[in-house]
Amino acid sequence: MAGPATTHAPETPSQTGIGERLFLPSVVKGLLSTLRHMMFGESFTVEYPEESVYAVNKFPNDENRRFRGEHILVKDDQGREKCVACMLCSAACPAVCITIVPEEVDWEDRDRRPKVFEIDMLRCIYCGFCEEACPCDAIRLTPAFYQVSRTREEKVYDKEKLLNDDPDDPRGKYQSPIHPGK
Amino acid sequence: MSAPAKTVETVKIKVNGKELDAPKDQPVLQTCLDNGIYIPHYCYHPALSISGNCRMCLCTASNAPKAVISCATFPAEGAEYTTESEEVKKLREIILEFLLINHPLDCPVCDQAGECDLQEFSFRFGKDDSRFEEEKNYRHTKKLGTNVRLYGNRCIVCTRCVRFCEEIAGDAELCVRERGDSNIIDTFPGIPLENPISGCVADICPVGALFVDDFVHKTRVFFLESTTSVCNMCATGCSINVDTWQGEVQRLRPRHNPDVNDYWMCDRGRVGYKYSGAAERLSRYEVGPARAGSSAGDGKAKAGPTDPPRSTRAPSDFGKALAAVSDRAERVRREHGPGAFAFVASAWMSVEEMFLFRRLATTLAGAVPGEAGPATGILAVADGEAWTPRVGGAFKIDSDRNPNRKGAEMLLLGSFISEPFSVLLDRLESGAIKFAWVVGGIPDFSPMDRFRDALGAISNVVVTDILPGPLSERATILLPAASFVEKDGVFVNGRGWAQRCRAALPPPGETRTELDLFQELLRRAGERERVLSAQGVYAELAAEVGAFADTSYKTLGALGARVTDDEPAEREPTGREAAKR
Ligand code: SF4
Ligand code: SF4
Ligand code: SF4
Ligand code: FES
Repeated sequence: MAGPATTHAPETPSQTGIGERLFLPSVVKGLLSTLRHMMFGESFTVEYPEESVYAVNKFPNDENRRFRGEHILVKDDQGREKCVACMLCSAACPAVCITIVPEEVDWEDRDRRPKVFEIDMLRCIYCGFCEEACPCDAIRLTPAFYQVSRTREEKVYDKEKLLNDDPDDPRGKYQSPIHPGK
Repeated sequence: MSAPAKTVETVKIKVNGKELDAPKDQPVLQTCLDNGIYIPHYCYHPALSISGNCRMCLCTASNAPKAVISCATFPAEGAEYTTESEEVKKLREIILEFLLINHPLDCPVCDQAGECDLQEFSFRFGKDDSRFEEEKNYRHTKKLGTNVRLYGNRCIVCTRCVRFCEEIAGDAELCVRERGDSNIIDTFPGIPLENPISGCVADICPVGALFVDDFVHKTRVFFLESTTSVCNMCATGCSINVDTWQGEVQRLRPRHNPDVNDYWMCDRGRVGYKYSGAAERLSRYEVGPARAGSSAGDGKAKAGPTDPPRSTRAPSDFGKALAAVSDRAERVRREHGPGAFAFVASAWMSVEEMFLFRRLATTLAGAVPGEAGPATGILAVADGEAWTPRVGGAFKIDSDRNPNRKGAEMLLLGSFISEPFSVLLDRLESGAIKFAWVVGGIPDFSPMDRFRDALGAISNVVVTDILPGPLSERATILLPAASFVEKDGVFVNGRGWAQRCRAALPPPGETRTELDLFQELLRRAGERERVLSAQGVYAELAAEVGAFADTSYKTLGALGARVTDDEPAEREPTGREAAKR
């Protein structure tokens, strides 16, 4: 469309044909294309909320893993939280929505874990900084975002809720397969 | 910093091409640090003898064929030292790589992370990789004493802690055990690390190997906010940092003050903030009716312990409580005269508070020439045990457990309190006192039975205190107070050093500081125009009280100043100075 980069002269109308200047043929062309997709094409739309976003596989590769939804705390191969309560995630969090109280444990491989780990999902801006800050790969954002609640309190996820590993849960199913083991 | 005030012999040296006058008996490292040339170091500590084992402080010298450790190199006339060159940089990288060979990657769980010299130097001077492929070794993690625990794996064996116990604490409980890479700090069998300043080993440990138990797994140091202040647990008056996070004190740390505590503080003081965060802190103004039937003029106050319980006081607020105080004082003054008042101060108040309280007493009680004035006295806790190290260090713990007894002596004795405490007790018990104001502010305080019982029989008892206890139980008007982490003020330690205490947190609940309280009462009585900050009150005080003349918050600065001239503040040598003799 653009003329040679060296000239500064405005594009002359004579470069476009009469059909394009009238717009009509283009409009019709566009409408026809829409019609073709409507009648014969495959639909990518999820009929949310009638249709569950998790049940219908509309995304390539089963799930859109880059989507940053609600968190899980990852478990290690012994079923314990991997988190060592270093609080780097809460330090990195721009929304200040992570509350951690560390506690001492006498496990062979580490001596510290979170006694309290709470994320206020209403305050979270789903930036993923916590995931990036974590030195232990203990916190992850899952694609799950369709999590309703009736009260504000329910949206403050505690440790138990974050450690969910129920394979049928939209968050829980992301527990292990990504990085199995420790 | 460590140079004594005497004239110091200096020699001319050059560091990185810059000419410096270096004190002859001070290592090049310290001279560089004093002149803003930073040389990384682990084992060197200005208060301890020189050990020279970490090799982190290597630099090159014109008069030596190989690199020298600047912490153990004393300046030679005309010598040239280089601390920033490719060679030195390379040396530092090598040293750090060695130090990190056996160091675990514990930073996420290590409470030193954020103020760790190993972290910082690795970041600033270290290599970004390690060539070490073998197994790291394992060294013990254990409690060395009641307060201190050791994470052996993280130790770099700089021996600062060992030297501290030898030279400052004087009990030499720590030693280095084993050889080579199994080197480990330990105590002797059956002799735990129990000296009263043992917590200081955690402060001087450059890495995260030693911790005071109280701070382990509590929070992360990068969250902490520091406020410079002064410890309130005894008359030594150590300069401290109050580290807070989320509205709570997380720890107290000694702050270097060569004239008071050097680099140290005692273990008792280190946890001396605990009561300030107690759940039962008084935080509500409460006003109850005046106590009836106290006029039983038989001279002996009746049964104290069955005094009106707390519940006879109703919740109130700052303004109403103050109005109640002035109303009742007014009535007592009209009906009974100044002789019916008693004012009891506390050796835990700041000098500003004492100054205002003194003035408030005269305002409330008034004065009638020829008649007895109000009864006065001061509360203080009994002396504890003093501590002096068996050998070495200059750091001592005062036996006086009151942070500001000296200040009270300077401000209140004579001018305000002229009778011994027994006279106060007699007057309290005589039944003539109708209005008593007691300032507590002392944690775990158990007043003498006589005092307590006498209070229980007085019609109006105003109590200013921080924790519920025998005093607050007997109050008819209760005014909550601020603890030392919540107020500004000056405290004078046993040796006459006035230092500033700064508020690190707001007082609990609706509580206003005593400074506000006293001033507001004075303002309502028409005695002052405005409620000033502690600094303003101090300025008034300095203008009035001779010993404090010419001092201000500005001149006191971070380290304080001496305000009395009895008994000169003699400084004993620090570890290194002593070791040199
Ligand atoms: S996603 Fe961002 S806002 Fe949410 S918890 Fe993590 S760091 Fe905080
Ligand atoms: S950064 Fe990771 S290990 Fe540290 S507290 Fe957060 S989740 Fe736990
Ligand atoms: S415990 Fe700390 S102070 Fe003691 S030798 Fe080891 S690193 Fe040094
Ligand atoms: S500081 Fe000089 S060798 Fe350790």
